[in-house]
Amino acid sequence: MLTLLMIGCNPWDIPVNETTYENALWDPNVAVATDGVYVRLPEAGRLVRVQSDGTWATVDLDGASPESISAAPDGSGVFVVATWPVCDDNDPLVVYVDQCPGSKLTYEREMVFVRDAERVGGGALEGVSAALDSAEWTDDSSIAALYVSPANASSVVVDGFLNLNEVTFVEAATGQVHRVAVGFAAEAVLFTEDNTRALVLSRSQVAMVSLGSGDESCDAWSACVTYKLTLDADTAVTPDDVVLVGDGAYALVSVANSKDLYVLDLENESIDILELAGSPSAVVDDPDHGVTVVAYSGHAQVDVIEHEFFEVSTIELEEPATQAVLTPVGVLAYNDVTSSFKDVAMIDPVSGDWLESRAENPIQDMTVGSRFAVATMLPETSSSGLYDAHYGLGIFTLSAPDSEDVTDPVSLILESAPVGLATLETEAADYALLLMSDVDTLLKVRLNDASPTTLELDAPPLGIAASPDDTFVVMEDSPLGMISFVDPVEDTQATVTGFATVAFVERPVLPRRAAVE
Amino acid sequence: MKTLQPLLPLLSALALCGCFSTAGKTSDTAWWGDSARDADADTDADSDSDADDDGPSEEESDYLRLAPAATDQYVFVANPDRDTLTRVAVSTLEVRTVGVGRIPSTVQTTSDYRIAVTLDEGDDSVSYVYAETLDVQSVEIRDNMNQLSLAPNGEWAMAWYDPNAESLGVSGGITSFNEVSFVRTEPLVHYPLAVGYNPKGVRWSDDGRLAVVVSDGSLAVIDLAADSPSARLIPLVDDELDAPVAEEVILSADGAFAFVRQRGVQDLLVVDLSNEVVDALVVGTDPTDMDLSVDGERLSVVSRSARQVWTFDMANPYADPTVVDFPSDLAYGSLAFTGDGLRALLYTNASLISSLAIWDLGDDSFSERALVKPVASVGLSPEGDTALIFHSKDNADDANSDDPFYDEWAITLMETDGIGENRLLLPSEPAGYTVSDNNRWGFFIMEGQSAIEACSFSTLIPELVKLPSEPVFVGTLPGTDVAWASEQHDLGRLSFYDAAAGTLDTITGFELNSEIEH
Repeated sequence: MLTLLMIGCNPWDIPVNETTYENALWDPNVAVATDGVYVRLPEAGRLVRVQSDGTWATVDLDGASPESISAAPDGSGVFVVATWPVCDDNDPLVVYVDQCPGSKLTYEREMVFVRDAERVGGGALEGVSAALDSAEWTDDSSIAALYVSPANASSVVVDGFLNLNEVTFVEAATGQVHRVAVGFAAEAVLFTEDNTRALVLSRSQVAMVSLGSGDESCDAWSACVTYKLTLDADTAVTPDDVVLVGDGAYALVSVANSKDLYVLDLENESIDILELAGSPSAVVDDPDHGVTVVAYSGHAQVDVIEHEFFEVSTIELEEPATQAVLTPVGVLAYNDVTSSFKDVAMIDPVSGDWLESRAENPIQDMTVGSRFAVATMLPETSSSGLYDAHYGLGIFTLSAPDSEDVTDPVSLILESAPVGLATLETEAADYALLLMSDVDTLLKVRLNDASPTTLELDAPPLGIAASPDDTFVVMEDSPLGMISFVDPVEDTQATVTGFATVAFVERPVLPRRAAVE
Repeated sequence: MKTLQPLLPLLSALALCGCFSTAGKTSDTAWWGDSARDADADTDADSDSDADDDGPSEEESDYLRLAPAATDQYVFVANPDRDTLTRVAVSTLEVRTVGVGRIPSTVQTTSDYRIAVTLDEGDDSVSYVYAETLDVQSVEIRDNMNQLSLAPNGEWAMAWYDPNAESLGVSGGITSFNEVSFVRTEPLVHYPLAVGYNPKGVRWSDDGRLAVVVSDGSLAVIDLAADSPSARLIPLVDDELDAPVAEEVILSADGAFAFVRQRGVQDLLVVDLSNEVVDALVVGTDPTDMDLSVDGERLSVVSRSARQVWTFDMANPYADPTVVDFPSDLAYGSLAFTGDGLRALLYTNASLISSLAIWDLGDDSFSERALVKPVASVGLSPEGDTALIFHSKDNADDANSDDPFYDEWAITLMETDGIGENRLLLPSEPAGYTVSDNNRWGFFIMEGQSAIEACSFSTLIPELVKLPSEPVFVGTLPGTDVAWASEQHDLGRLSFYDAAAGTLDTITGFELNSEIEH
């Protein structure tokens, strides 16, 4: 999974040659693929691929402008939602967009999948609505499930109509599209480990979709089994989260604002409901121990659910945890919501033992690796101590609760607010790469001994993203585009600038006129 | 006159809950529906002056018993709203659901545990569901039947219409007050029969060859061994429309005789089924209960007003009976033999008497035991060495208002073969009980309590087991220490408590299984 952390500032409306442009020249919300970094150029209406050798290339979208982009987890390609203008005026003299009367100008939207700077299949994905704004991928990035995220429902642009009763599956290799009816308003999609099936959570039901070639019990690309979560049509049950447990034999589905945890037996096709202590804030599977750990924002406990009889046992904590993350030595639980709760607990879900650490300041975000967890921390609003007054970086060495060698957490004071954090694990050492607001350096912290080094940047950073090849991409605040490719192991960096100048002075042409005629 | 008012809500509740309450009638339970007793209690004073003259009717002692629709491996739950039957495997809690007819109101299991049978009121059918495979066979029956009885050997079932019981699915058409539907299992065939007016139920002979359908005014005898069963009607009275209410019927083991106890009548009717002859046996004044001895050789009748127990030889009911006087002048009206055949309990729930008597069948001596409160119901362990005495909330006339049990619900766990007992104050009214067939545990549930009480018959110590929600029905799994409780939950909830291991397992939402789509 690639991570991309960006600040929320808007660096646009900048004067270039004393000209003010309506749109940004480039969007630092990039998509990092194996073949390069894809960058939207809103003003020019183009998509460019920038490579670490300093080159960039424009992606031919047949006159369409990219609206949003997202990369496959393995970087094998990029989904692009694009729009293109349509002028309902067949006058052959109408060539440019600004020549089309406003009353006759409309925009069409489409979804394309780009790889190696070209559209897979040579055009738009047929039958895929551009309103689909969420994508879940198989872990091998071979299949994507596209749907409308309920969180973004209010901003969805609907052209004509939008069928919320289906999820669209796209085969990345061929661009082949499969639309599957799954229930109303999909909330989430989870693929099985072998990538042969997908669980689609939607309003009041969960559908098991067969992918690929299907099998004897179910046709390919269809909903094989649908589990209703309520018997009352007037009561909407909104699935919140799902994890597969027991080698994929069961799905545990938590429900928004409910204590109920639905246990779907996917092999025997039956349902049980566990009543938990409260609405879960985090559900994490521990397959090695055959248990699932549930954390609650409102209860100072985690519940451990074993996978044979689904019996629930409780481990009392000192503070509620909102997050639970599986690590090689236990489940790490912490609270990133309530500023007064700073406990970081490493829990052995089998023995019930847990090891308590404490963050110096409220946890803003935590990145958990196999040996370390790195937290960015917020200033304390009610305290005036040196550390409390600053943003911070906490380094937690992951130790099992029964470990005799426990390392105290290290807390670093930061100059300004973190705007991006990434971690890197190597055989020799682990590193955290941190960007701070208005600081023209990339802070590189060797986690093993908390020793920092810095890499100078040419401009204040806007965000950092990991690349599939274990390097990192840093977006910097430069109006004409600036991206640095950083290799933290070799301590090298290559900066590419100026890619936002592509076509930004060109007069937009009406594309695809033949289709209009 | 009705003296045990607090019991009525319970009776009404049982009548409404068709899934388990009527499903669990055992052969030693009164064969008529709970609703009939409810109606009896309601109408006694108004409609039957004879009954008033003779005092209130005794409530059958095991009215709280809710036998499970269970086998040794599965519990079956009918889902009348979804036309399905859910099977829960106890060892794994695996849930499977299968479609049956419309509105299955009752589920029962055969004694060999092979088959679960549902009465599907919505489409007037009976479904046989094979426990292992969940294969379903259905057969249409006559319209609007709302009661079902399954022969102990599972080879036959009878459905009939009880106007006092709730119907979950009236299909329209004709409603007969004389018809019953007999269904043979293999092959699945329906035989509609006309019997006496307003049939109350059926008694099955132990050998499975005979069924007797009882109405107030007549008995219908059905030869189940015949190729095409038919009903032979034997009138009990001259005027069937003005017949006394038949309160209880017992069939001899060989099917030679049927004994009918009628309300407000001083005699006991004995019916020679072979010769179709009806005779009256003198049984003292005010016969209020009768029970068959464990070996089936003797029939004892309680004559409440005479303060006597009359015992007849089942093989020769015309021989002189043995008459035993009560140990005191207290008006006991109910009788229950212990399963070991050594004793019987005499008690009453028709008047506020705070004692019972234990009758030693070996020497006909009595041991009278004082109780903390009057009796509402009595349950016995399978061997009968322990009794669960459920007390009424009402107090005896001479009760002291300072007594901790005054105006409270209570239960006494009592040894019948010793003097040990444990008197327990309860927070609310008992709603059901059951006992494990291994003679180790009794379980009961209470109104408004999300818990089940597990009572050890060896220590007389109860243990409160908290449940996720309030139980509605309770039962046990044959041959185990496990009790199940069906609980209040919109989507269905069952808990299984293993009293020996002290473990509780719960499944919730199993009714959703009927909505899983393919």
